[in-house]
Amino acid sequence: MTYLDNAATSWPKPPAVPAAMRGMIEHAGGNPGRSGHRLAMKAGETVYACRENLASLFGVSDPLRICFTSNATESLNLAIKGSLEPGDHVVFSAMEHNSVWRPLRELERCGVRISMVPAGANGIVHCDSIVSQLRRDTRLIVLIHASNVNGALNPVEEVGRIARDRNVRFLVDAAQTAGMVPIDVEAMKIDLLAFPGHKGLLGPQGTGGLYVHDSIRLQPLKHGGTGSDSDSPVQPEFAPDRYESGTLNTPGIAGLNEGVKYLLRHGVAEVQRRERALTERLLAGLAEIQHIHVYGPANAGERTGVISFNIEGRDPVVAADELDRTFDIACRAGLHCAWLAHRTQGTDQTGTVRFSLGALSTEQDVDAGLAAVRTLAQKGKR
Amino acid sequence: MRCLVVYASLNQVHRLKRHIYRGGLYVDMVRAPQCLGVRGCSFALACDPALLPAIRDASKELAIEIRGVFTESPDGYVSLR
Repeated sequence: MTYLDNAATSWPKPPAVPAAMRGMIEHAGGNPGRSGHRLAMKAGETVYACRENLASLFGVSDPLRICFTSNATESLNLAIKGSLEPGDHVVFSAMEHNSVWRPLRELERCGVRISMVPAGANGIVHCDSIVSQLRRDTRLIVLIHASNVNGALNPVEEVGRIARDRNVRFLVDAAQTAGMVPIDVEAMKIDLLAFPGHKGLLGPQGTGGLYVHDSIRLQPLKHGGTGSDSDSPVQPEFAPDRYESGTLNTPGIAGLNEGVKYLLRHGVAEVQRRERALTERLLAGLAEIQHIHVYGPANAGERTGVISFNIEGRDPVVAADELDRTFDIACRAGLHCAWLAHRTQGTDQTGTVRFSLGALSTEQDVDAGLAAVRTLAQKGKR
Repeated sequence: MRCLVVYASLNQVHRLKRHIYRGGLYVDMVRAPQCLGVRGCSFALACDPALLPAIRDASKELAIEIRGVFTESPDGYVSLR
């Protein structure tokens, strides 16, 4: 199997990830933050270690500002719904995923005002476009760090400065960059960082998190047991308990911790350097094949290893199916849960085939993908 | 006789324990006995009384609220503040 679907979920995982999950279930299967016995305390230590490692990865000084969720979608919902009230104004981009667009459209029905900023033809959002949409009642800016459709990288650091200068809360969707692109929330002036655990961070599915700046108090998405302030009828005020009602996915977090440790050992900058070299190889290879249209920035420095393309005359979903069945290549086709981004690049009616690289992708993976696409393109229209 | 320094949650206790450990000191973590009556379920750092100043300093530095300090005695727990 040649795996080129890392934007959906990374695979394979470092061997320590499943080993830690198994170890957690077999040897530390207590409920963290609830009971006081050794199994529970050991589980709690692993959960805290993961918080610390994530904080280290993202330049967060207080690990208690890292809140665990089940995925980036939940993190984005918590950040968006926890920030906005009727009458508030929010600015977001035309490259956002449905996990931003849908919550915002839902809130719009409740009186939140939304403004969408267009992106350039290559999918990159320009700071001037964001500034032009800011108003006195703007409460939040939401920006995808890198597109899950065409890999376009957005100028997060510049937008962070703009948001901080105007005292507007800044939420970054790092679904495609956490673990793949260096992120420092302090330097980038990010107030809320939503990330999945199962993509670039190399953890298992069902894990994710939200960094919440210590000046921010969100309305929780969930209410319930936290193992703290149990005599109170309301949620605790302090993080992360305020946002983490219910038992955590402790085995998943144990696996995530190993994924993050892998990244801390190898360095995210090194992961990005490797991925960029593979991206250049893939882009160059696709450019040599006739009847292929590639979307997004042409320069690998302006994008991640998420590459959307179409083969002239071929339905992308049918092409992806053939890549799987005939060439043993796993990729994703269609609209990628991001219709807005597809509309921006003009593929909302067709969708695209998407190859996406990960930390463990190799030159062999890229070459196998290129050879298969070349064969499909040469076979002609279908 | 050891002391219990009570906090709201296990998350806070973990943060303090790790912070204190980096300073070369070891403290234990326990579930705070219910009889202490410190706002429902709580967790505590358990330590030798000599370590109390270091724990108080760390709590202040990290802005984590101490919800009670107790010492164990043959008759139960005695509040130190």
